[in-house]
Amino acid sequence: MRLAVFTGCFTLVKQIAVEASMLKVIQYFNIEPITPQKTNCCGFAFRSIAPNTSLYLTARILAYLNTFESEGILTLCNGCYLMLKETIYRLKENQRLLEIIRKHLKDEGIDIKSIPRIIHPIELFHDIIGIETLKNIANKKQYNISIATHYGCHALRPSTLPSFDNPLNPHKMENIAEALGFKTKDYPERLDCCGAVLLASKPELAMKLAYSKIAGTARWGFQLLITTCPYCFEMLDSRQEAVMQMFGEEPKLPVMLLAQLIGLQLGLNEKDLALNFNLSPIDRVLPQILKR
Amino acid sequence: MNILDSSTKTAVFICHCGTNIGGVIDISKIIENIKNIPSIAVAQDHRFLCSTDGIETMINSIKTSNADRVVVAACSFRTHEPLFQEALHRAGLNPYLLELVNIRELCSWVHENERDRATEKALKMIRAAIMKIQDNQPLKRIRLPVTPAALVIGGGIAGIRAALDIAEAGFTVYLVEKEPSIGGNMAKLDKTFPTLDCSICILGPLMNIVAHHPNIKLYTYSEVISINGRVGDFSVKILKKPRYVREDLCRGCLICIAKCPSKTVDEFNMGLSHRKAIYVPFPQAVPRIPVIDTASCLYFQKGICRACEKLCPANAIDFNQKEEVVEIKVGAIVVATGFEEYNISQVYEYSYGRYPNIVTGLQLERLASSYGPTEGRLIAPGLNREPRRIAIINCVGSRDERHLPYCCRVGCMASLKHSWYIKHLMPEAEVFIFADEVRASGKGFEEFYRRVRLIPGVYIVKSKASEVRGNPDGTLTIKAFDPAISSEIAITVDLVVLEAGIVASRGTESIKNLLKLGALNSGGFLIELHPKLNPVETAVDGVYICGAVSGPKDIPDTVAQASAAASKVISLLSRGYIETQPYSAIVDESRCSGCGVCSSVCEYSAIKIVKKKERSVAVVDEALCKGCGACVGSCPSRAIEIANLKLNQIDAMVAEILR
Repeated sequence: MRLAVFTGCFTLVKQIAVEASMLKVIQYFNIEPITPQKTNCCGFAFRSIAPNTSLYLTARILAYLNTFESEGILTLCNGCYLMLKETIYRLKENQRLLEIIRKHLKDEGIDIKSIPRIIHPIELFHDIIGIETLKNIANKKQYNISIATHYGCHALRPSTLPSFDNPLNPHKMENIAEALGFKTKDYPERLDCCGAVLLASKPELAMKLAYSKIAGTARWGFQLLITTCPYCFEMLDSRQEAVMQMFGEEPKLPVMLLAQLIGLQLGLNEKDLALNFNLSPIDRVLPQILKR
Repeated sequence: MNILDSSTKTAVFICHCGTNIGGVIDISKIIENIKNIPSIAVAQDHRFLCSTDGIETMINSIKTSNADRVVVAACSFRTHEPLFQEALHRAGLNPYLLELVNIRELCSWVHENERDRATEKALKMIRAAIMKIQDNQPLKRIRLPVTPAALVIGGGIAGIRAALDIAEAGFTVYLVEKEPSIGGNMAKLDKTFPTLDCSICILGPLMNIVAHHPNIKLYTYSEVISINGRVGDFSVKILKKPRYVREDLCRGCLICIAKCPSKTVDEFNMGLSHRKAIYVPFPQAVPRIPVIDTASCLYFQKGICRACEKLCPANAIDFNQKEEVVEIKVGAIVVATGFEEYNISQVYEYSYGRYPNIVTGLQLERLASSYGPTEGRLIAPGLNREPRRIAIINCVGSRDERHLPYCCRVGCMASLKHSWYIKHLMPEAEVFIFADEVRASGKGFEEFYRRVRLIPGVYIVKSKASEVRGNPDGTLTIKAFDPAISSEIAITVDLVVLEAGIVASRGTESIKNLLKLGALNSGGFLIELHPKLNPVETAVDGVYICGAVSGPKDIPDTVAQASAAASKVISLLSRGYIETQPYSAIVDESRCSGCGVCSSVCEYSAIKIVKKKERSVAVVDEALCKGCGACVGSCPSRAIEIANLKLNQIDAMVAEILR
């Protein structure tokens, strides 16, 4: 299976572990990644202030990726995922806008010829690679590790857009973690925002949201939190120390990417999965996972 | 038939209905047009044809013009056909020589903004009706006898009230209840709002009268499995599930229950406690005869135990009891199958079922009840101490487009009543009601609202709660936006009560299918014949509905409806006969090939294929035929048609409209 991988800006400039771990892991499942070099920003940053500009930017990506033969676009970032999904939805329901955008694209010599499938990493592991395959990797091994799942808002919301899971009560990430032999449980902060969208406009509020997410999750006794989104990873992992210090506490919640966790089970080494970039206290949980 | 040389004389009356029709359609233009049709004896308009003056004018005109058939262009036959038919009768004409054209609902109301085209359409409709009526025949209604007995389905307060009213009038009533006892949801309530009288204290006496009334035959632990026939003559099959306890021998000592070793979840207490495998649902149950639940009985599951059988002093336990089908005949049916709480674990944000210490309104009723799981003590199941702070959230699932779009009509008052319970049991407790509005429109409701909100320690937050979150210590945090201070608030409590939305009870859909009642309202409720004028009738003659089966209702409204349904039944049964509508299907035997397609599409089983002179032909039972016309469309030989809507009449209408 060939998939075009749309990395998005934030992964490239801040969270290279997201791309590194995903590319390493999907090769094990016979997925051939295509990594286009000349894509632009998905336009998410302008979504609120210049909606049509952001739609145009996304449409440009769709048109550009049309030139590669692939069975879908794997988006690594929740923001990009929402933009691609929403743009397709908006353009389908507004033919006039679609024609205007196509006209501008044709000036550049590209066009939207077909509508690709947009794939979220959770969807990739749950529905394409499949739970049974993941169970085989785990080989019936059970870990005494309780995992908190974090989907990130834009993976599921707004709930009016078609989604790969129930926006109010998703379960696919739990299914994945359980297939891999870990324990999961529902917790009230599960669908809370990581705060990243407020980083530019209200940084203090962003940090406060991240704090209530991390501290709220930690009090339920989880040993590890997993996510897929580079922005969520930034807030919950990279900035965890800064966030906790703001409120006079120590970092307490190990955070990993879903692809990193699967990679460890596949026997990939920590460097290949860029685990050395994780800044949350994953050393607390890593030995238990590596003990096969 | 060509109306230009017709020998018939048709009178046409057009109603303005004030401005409803006259304000859109140019009636004088229509009169001018149709006056030129030779068969027209008179063409008149009137501001309000259904007024006394309108009717009298109509009768006079028919008489003086010697018209022999009448077209009325006005409103819906549903509301006005009987009135105009009566006018024809008084003018000396057969009432079925009337054609009512609905130029209001089907024309002026829907084409308000295109008057010229509306006039054109109304003219076509009226001209088509004139064409059609040329071939109308005088029809006669048939009188059929009525079986002087009634079936009431559902033994809650609605069914109990309806059954008692009908029985008091001297008719036999069969009351069928699927649970082991009658009483329904009202038996689960501790008190009733706004008067706070003890629910079982006012319901219990009625339950006992039902049990011993000479005219009431009570079938508990039974279900209706088939209904056939028509108004006045229904035959009904009732399935009596085996209790494994002989009703004729059991003395109600309940030793069997005390000795039964097997336990399972208690449905009557809404899952908050356990009951034995042999049980009566609650102390006041009617009849006071236990039932063995085979799913949890050790004998039925493992073939051991039989303690109840050994210890019963009356030898009433009978493990060999089989289910039994009883067949009865009734003239009328009342459906009162009531409501249940919406499955609120689907309202994910309120966390029902995800964290302990969250109960529904009905569960709180059981906790507060003296014969409930805690004998009237309020506990928080996951906390091991009395709750001190309690939150009540209104409209859970109700008024929510994702779940139930309608108002449950009892939640607001129930939340006030529940606050009163809590303050009554624990005067020091603090109660927070989250309600974006409190609807207190019933009799005595506003006074009760004032009384409760003045109790110190009862706080009403005028806001819809956004989320309920569990905490590791077993407490719960409610998040809401409080518009009074324009800020998000979070309140941590020990117990959360969710006032759940109301849906029709689980059995409603199968009853609907048995009775062929057509569609259901959102929430699964049965639809009344007319929301204002026929609130207890249904689309099927002789079938009446009352109580929460037609929509959420409080007890006073339910009881009023039950008596209304009963009075409809009594008036039908005491008259003793019904008159059928005469629009039944007619078979042209010379064309009929006896293929049987018509009888297979007939929803009312009114058509049979019989042998006549060595040929198979279709025969219609006029008492069962509703004149729906399904057979007409299905017949490949054009051999079956409806009286006064014959195929040549339809052809004439179509030809006129396409002219």
